[in-house]
Amino acid sequence: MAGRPDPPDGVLAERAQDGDTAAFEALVLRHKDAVFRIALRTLADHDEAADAAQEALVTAWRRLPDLEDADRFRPWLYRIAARRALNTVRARAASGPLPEEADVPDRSPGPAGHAIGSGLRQALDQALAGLPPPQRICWILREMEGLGYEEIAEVVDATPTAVRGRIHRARTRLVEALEPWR
Amino acid sequence: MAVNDPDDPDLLPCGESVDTLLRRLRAGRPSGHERTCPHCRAAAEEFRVLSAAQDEADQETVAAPPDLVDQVMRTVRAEVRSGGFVTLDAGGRGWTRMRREAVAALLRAACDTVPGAAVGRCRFTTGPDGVAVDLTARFTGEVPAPRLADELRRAVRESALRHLGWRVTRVDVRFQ
Repeated sequence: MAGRPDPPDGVLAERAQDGDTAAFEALVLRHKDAVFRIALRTLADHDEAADAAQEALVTAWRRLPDLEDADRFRPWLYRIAARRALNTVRARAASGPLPEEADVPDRSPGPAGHAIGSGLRQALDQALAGLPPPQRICWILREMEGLGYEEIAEVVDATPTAVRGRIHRARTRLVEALEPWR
Repeated sequence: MAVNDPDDPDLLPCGESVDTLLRRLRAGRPSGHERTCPHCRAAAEEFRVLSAAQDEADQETVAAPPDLVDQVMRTVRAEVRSGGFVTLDAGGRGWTRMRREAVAALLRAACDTVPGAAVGRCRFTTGPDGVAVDLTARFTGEVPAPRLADELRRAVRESALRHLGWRVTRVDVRFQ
């Protein structure tokens, strides 16, 4: 296809559904970073995120025959990635909650004498980890991946109204958690 | 976006949605209203630190580990779904078979030479009267659909005859 524009997701997804592994590889190359980011920001752990991203992409290949509208490949893939990451979070919670899973966001690291720099960035990660996972994933998809409410609703299997509510609550809690940096 | 939905928890008293406000502020393009409205200004101040944290996060390029694609594709190739083989005419001197996916790839490659269309699905049935091909296509240019479909038909017919010795009797094209 040299010299031609890259085919849209729908075309590649249909080819992949026909068993074309090169088309699937093109989709993987196109979306791997976003899939990894969703996993990393949900899990806040590089190795777990790498595993989750790999499993999500392999799951996408296995479930491709079930994808009815190939043009919806991206939200469909994000949904697989989000669910995979949330399952890992649940598995962690089942094996004993970690401090970052506590319901109250960790507000301990104050900014005293700390320039606004990597400290703020880390505080955001920490605050995100303190959010309930459904709020966390909605906020990540809206603010970090730029998805619309309708698309997020499709990814997390909720109504757009529920998504709006979750993002609103996530913002409120994040603002509270970052209050020491004000 | 239901900016006027009264149930929207993100709605400011002035009717502006926090989501819209934050998006414009982060893009550095607040509207005239947003610059002067006290509700919008208060919200902007409330979310200032969170927005700054997001800006920092945005500047970080988070890329997937370099071996992710290889690991995924190794599994994918090991699990490849094969639709089986088709037998090509060998004139009684042995047999020639070709994987159905390879046939589809060949026909799609022929379609790739037609400007203005991207072909996704390519399925075919072989019968005593010849071969019928079913394509899905999306427009990538300005060529009108009937002409584009005819050019795809011609490309498929020629390629099938030249490379497979097939007489294609029918090519259905579905534009998506």
